[in-house]
Amino acid sequence: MENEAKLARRLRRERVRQMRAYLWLAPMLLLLLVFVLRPVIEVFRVAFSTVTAANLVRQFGTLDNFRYLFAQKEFPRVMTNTVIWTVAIVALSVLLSLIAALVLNETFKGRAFHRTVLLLPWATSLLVTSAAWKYILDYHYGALNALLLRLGLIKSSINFLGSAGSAFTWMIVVGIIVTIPFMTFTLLSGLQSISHDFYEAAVIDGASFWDKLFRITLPLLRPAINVTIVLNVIYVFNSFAIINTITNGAPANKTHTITTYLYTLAFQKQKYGASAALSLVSFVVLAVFAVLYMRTQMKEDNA
Amino acid sequence: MKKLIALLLAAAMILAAFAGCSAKKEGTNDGTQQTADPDAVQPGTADTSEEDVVINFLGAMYSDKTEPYLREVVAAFEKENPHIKVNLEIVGWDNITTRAAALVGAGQAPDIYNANSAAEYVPDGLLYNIKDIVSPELLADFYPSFIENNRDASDGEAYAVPYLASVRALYCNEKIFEEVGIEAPPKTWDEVEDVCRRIYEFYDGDVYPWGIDASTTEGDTMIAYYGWSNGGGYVDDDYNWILDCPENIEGLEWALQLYRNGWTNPNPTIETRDDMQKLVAENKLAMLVTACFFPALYPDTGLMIGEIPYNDKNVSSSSTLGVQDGLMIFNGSAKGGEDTPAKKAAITKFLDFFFQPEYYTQFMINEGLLPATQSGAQRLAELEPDQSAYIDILGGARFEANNLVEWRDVMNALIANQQLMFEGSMTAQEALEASQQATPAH
Repeated sequence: MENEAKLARRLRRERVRQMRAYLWLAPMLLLLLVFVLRPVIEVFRVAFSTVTAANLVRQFGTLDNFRYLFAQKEFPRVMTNTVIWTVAIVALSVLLSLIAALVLNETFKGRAFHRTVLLLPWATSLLVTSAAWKYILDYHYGALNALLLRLGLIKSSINFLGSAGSAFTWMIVVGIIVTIPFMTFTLLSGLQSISHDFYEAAVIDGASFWDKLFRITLPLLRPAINVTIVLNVIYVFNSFAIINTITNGAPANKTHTITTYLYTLAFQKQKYGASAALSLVSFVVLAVFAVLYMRTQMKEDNA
Repeated sequence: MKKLIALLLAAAMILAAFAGCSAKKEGTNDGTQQTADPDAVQPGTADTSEEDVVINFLGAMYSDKTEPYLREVVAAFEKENPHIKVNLEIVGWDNITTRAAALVGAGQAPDIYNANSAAEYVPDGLLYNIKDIVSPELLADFYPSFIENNRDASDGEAYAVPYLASVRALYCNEKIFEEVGIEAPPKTWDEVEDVCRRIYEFYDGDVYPWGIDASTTEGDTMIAYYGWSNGGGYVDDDYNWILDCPENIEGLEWALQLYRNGWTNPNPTIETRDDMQKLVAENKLAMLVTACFFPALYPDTGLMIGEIPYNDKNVSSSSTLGVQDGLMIFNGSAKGGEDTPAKKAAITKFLDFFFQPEYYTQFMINEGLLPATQSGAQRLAELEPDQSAYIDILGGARFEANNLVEWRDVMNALIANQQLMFEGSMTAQEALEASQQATPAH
C-alpha cells in the first residue's frame, strides 16, 4: 500500500518534470512552428500549385512548375555551377584554413594579433564585402586593374567580370576569402583540443613533422573537419550575397547558382511556382548530401 | 522558490507570445470585417465625407526628391480631407515589384500601386477598370494616346491610370564632340559609324564612342533602338510577335558590329544605363541613347541632344521610345473585401487632387519626367519651356508592347538570347529566332 502510494507520487512527479521540460521547450517549438515549419509547408504547397503572374496560388496538384523549371535553357548550367561553386569553395577553403590553423596553433610573436586580423573579414557583412569586391574587380574603376597597371604587369585593363568563366572564377575566389576565417577558427579549436602527450610520445619515437601531421593531427582532427565540411557545404551551397551583388547571374544567366537563380525566378521573372519548385530541388540535393556524408563518415568512425 | 519563479516567467513568456499572435490576428480580422461587412455602410446612402478612410499608396522612388515631395502632397490632401488618411510607402524600382507581389499574394494589396505594367494583374481581375474609379473630368484631361497605350491587349480596356512618361533620346557628350570636331549628333546609321570611327581613332580607343545596355536593366529596349530604326519591331499591328523579322536581325547585327569594332562599352551584357550615364558624365563615353531625365541627373555635363539614329536605307525617320508608368488601382478581390463606397470615393478624390497641375507639374519638374495630363503639360510649358520640347516628341513616341500579359516572359528570353549573342555563342538571327519561339501564338 505504502509502496504503491510512493510509486504513484513518483510517477506524478515524473510527469510534472516532463511537463516542465515541454514548457521550457515551448517557446522554441513555437518559433520553429511559425518561422520554419509553416514556410516549408507553404513552399511545398506553392511548388505543386498553379501560381498566376499576380502571385495568387490557384490550383493544387500540378507538376507544371517543375516542367517549366526543367525546360529552362539555363537550368543545367545552374546545377553544374552550384556543384562547382560548392566543391571548389569548400575544398580549397578547407585546405587553406587547415594551413592557417596549423600556423596559428604554433606559438610565435604576434599570434594574438594575427588571429584577430584573420577574424576581421568574418566580422564584416557579407554584402559589404561583396560590394567592395565588385568595385575591386570593375573594368573601368577597379582597384585591381589600377594596381596591376601601376605595377606594369598589364598593359591595358583586364575585363575580369566580362565573361562568365572569368566572373565565376573570381566570385569563387571571393567565396573562399570569406569562408576561410570561420573555418580556420573551427579547425583551430579542434587542434587545441589535441593533447600534447601524443606529440611528445611521437617525438621520442623519432616521428618527423609529416608523420605527426598525417598520423596524429589529421586523424584526431577529423571530427572537427567533418563538422566544418558539412556546415560549410550547406552554407556555401546556400550562399547568396556574393553572386547577387557581383554579377546577379549575368551574362546570359551563366553565373547563377541555385540560390541566386531561384531568387531571380521569383522576383525578377515573377515565376513564383517555379521558384518554389527549385527550392524543393535544392532542399532534396542538400538533404541527400548531408545523409550520405554523415553515413560514410560515421561508418569510417565505427570501423 | 527559484524554480517556481522561473516556471512562472516561462509561462508568462509563452502567454505573451500567444497573446502577441492573437492580438495581431484580431487586428487584421477587424480590418477585413469592416470592409467586408455589408452593414457597415449603406451603399449609396452613406455620407461619404464622414467615414474615416485609409488609402494605401505604394509608390516608386524616381529620385531622392520623390518621397519628400509626395509626403508634402499627401499632407496637403489630408489637411483638406480630414477623414481620409493616405499611407504612403515609397520603394526603389529594384524592389517594388517584389513588394507588390508579396502584398498581393497575401491578399493585402495596396489601393494605389505605381508600376510600369498592369498586364500581370489583369487576368486575375484584381484591378479597377480606370473608368470606374477615375473622375470623368480627370479622365478627359489625360492625353488620349496615353490611355490608348494602356489598353490591355486581351480585352481593350484600360487598367492603369497614366502616371507619367519619359522619352528616350540620343545624348552626346559636348566636350568629346568638340575635341574631335563633330558639329551635331549623328542622324543615320551611316553617320553613327562615321562618328564612331572618328572618335575611336582620335582617342586611340580610350573613349568609347557608342553605349549599349543589353543587361537585364535595359536589354528589352534593343529592339526599339535597333529594330524600329530599321523598320522592325516587337509586334505587328495585331499584336503578333515579329521578333525574328529580317529588319530586327539586320538591326541587331548592326549593333553587334559596333561592339565587335570596339566602338562600344566593353561589357554590354552587364553595364547598365546608369553605369554608362556616369561614363558619359566622366567624358569616357561619347554617345548614349537614354531617358530624358539623364540631363537632370548630371546638370554639369554638357550634352547635345538628338533623335535615335535610324537606317535611312529602310526607314525615313526616327522612332522615339516612350516609356509610360501607370497607377494600378487594386479592387476588393486583391484586398480581402470589397471597397466601401466611401473608400472608392476617397480614391477618386485623391487622384483628382494629386493630378492638379499645382502639385503634379512640380512633381514632374522635380523628377525631369513628362506629365500625362494636358493641364500638367500646359503648366510645364509655362514653367520650364525647355522641358516641354520633349512633350512634342512624346506625341510621336512609340511604346513597348508591355500591355501583353506575356511581355515580361518574352523580354526575359530576348534579353538572355541577346546576351548570348554578345558573348559570341549565338548569331543575331539565332538569338531572335530563339526569342520568337518563346512567344505564344495570338
